[in-house]
This record gives sequence, C-alpha cells and structure tokens, in this order.
Amino acid sequence: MRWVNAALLCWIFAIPCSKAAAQTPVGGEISWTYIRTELERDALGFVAEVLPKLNQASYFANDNFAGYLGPSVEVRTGGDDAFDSFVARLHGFVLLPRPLDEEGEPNNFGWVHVIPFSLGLETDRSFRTPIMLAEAGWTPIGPRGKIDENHPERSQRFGLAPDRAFGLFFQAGYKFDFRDSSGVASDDLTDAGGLTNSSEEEPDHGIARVKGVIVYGISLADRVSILPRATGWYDIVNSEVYYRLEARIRVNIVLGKSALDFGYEKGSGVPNFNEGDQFSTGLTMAF
Amino acid sequence: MPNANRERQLTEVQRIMRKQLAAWCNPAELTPEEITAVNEIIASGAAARFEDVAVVLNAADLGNVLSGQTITGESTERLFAASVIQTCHRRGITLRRTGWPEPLDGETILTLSELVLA
Repeated sequence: MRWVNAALLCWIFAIPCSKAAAQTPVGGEISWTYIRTELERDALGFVAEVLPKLNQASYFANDNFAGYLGPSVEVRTGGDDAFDSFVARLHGFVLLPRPLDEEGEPNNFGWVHVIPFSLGLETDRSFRTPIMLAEAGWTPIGPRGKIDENHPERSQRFGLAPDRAFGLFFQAGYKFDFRDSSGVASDDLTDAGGLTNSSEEEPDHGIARVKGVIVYGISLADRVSILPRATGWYDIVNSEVYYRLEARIRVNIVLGKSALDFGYEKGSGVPNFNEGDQFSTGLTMAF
Repeated sequence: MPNANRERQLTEVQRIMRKQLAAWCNPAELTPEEITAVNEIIASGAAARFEDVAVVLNAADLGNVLSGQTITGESTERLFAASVIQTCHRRGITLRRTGWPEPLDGETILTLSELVLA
C-alpha cells in the first residue's frame, strides 16, 4: 500500500501548487517536522489537513437547526517509526436551536451548542488497521461578551479560541482485518517504536469509544503561544483507556500564515494508540 | 418591481450578515472602528441597522475577521454562513446552500450578499 501513500502525498502537494495562481480548490495546513522518535531515531514528519473546496460542501437550515456537510482528509506520517495516521471523512455540524432575540432571530451571542458529526476511515500509513468510524459529539461555544478594545485577542469566545476549547464525542465503527504482503497481521507488529499497535481493539470486530478533548493554553503578545492538548478515549468494548498528550510551543513568524513549532507528544492516538514519546521541531504554513 | 424586491432582500441579507459577523468574528483581527461597531451590535442587535455600523462592517474583509475554528476544525466562516442562511430562511429569504466562496478572503458583506442571494 506504499503506492497509495505516495500517490496521496503527490495529490496533496500537486493541487495547491498547480492552482496557486487561480482560486485554490483546497485549503488547510501543512507541517514539516524534524522528529526524535520512540526508537531514538531521527525522522522527518509530515502532517497535512486538506479541506477540498470544490463546492462539495453544502449548508442546510430550517427554522430551528442549521448546519454544514463537507469532506476532509488528514494525513500524519513520517520516516522510520514516527507516529502516523490517515483519516478521510465526510464531516459536518449542526447548530442546536438557540433562543430567539428581540428581533425574532436565533441568538448567536449566547452559548451555542454545536453537534459535530463525521463518517470516515482511519488507518495507519500501511493501511494495516483500517477502521470505518462514525462519530457524533458536543462542542460548546461560549457567549460573545463585549470586546475589550485594549486587548481584543482576549475576547475570543470559548470554543473558538485556539487555546480554549472542549469536546466530547461518541465513536462507533468496525475494524477490518487487512494483512500485509508478508502475511503478518496488523496486531503482530511489536517493538516497532512509534508504529507499535497498542490498541486492544480486535480486527474483524465492532468498536465503540467515548472520546474527550480539551485544550487550554496561553498566548504571549501574539508572537508565542503554549498549547497543551489532551485527548482521551474510553474503549467501551474492551474497557480500556487510551490517551494522547500534546504540548506545543508555537512562535508565529507571520501571524496566521507561518509559524515555528516545538512539540512533545505522549501517545500516538488513533488508530494504534501507541504509548510512546515523540519530540518534534517544525514549520507550519497555512494555504 | 422584481428589482425593488431584490434590493430589499439584499439590504436585509446585509443587515443579517453584520449581526452574525458580530457574533462569530475573531476580535483579534478587528480594527478599532470595527470593534466599536461590533460592540454596538453586541449591546443591541438592532444596531446592525445603524448606518455608521453598516458603513464600517460592510467593508470588512470577512476572511480576515472570521478567522478561527472549533476544536473539530470547523471554521468560524462556516458557523457564520450557517447562521446567516438560517436567519434568512426565517425571514423568508432564500440563500444558496452550496458554492459559497471558501475561504472568504477578500469578500465583504456587500460582495458576498450579491454572490449568495439565490
């Protein structure tokens, strides 16, 4: 399945480059990182979140609900035993009914409860552990208060600020049993550093998880931000708990466009739930 | 008469967009004039009808002032668009459900309202 990864990466790079002069049909974020992996190897890491903008996205609304539906692809990979994952999904959100304001319109200035949902595929770069997964969750967005004219950056709503957010999700799906060319089952790989599969989720079985995510960071004068992020999964089928802790120090070169990142990760997250450590230094560019 | 009706609908869509911009904008990206206008709307949604507020917010770069995202990566531009479409629906105005510019870089309330009014 290596050719799948190669083709995917070519596609990701080709589209923004070939269309750069015209209206770009994709947007997202690409990061290149230097990584110190679990097996103390040096590796080059790559993360891309690609949001196609080919007008597949669609909004829906009635008197009570409003929402969005569209596709997205996220790739995380690297050399040697670097953590890796591939997530492709159809995703969207629903804004739950809000009280009406004095003009009889939905009041979006108070708490807004967003129900994100998705249906997609998550696997590693060798497609050994493909999981078809459906997810629904709850992400609250705090009220919009009066903006502080002297420090407007402190007035961003909870849930929209990059350093203050929370989400709770339920995930259910099916884990397929794909064997690689040597006939080795996905769960037979051990001592592979960051590629080790530590998941108790059995191939050819259904899976069900509860997932929680919390971010709470601090920013220093728009230039430097410290972003701790914790993600936890409770495996309902096997009564196991998995986690992924990330701490990132971001130094903005051009605000919102490019930044230097210094990161630490404990745990790989989906789909392998590897518990190892990974350090990285990298450059992130928005496109 | 159809032109007059479209003009009325455009004026209403622009008012709704100003109000939703105040709800979903990223304060860090606002100019001092835009902060004053947004704070007026936060104090009372009716301020979205005021001419001085309209002049300032109609010219704002939506891609810039709506930057940001939820923890699942949903952009505030999409929250804004969904809110505008729903509010217009309640007002009996039909907006396009697909083909909204993404991102809204360079779009203003004036250009966007022309683009999305069905």
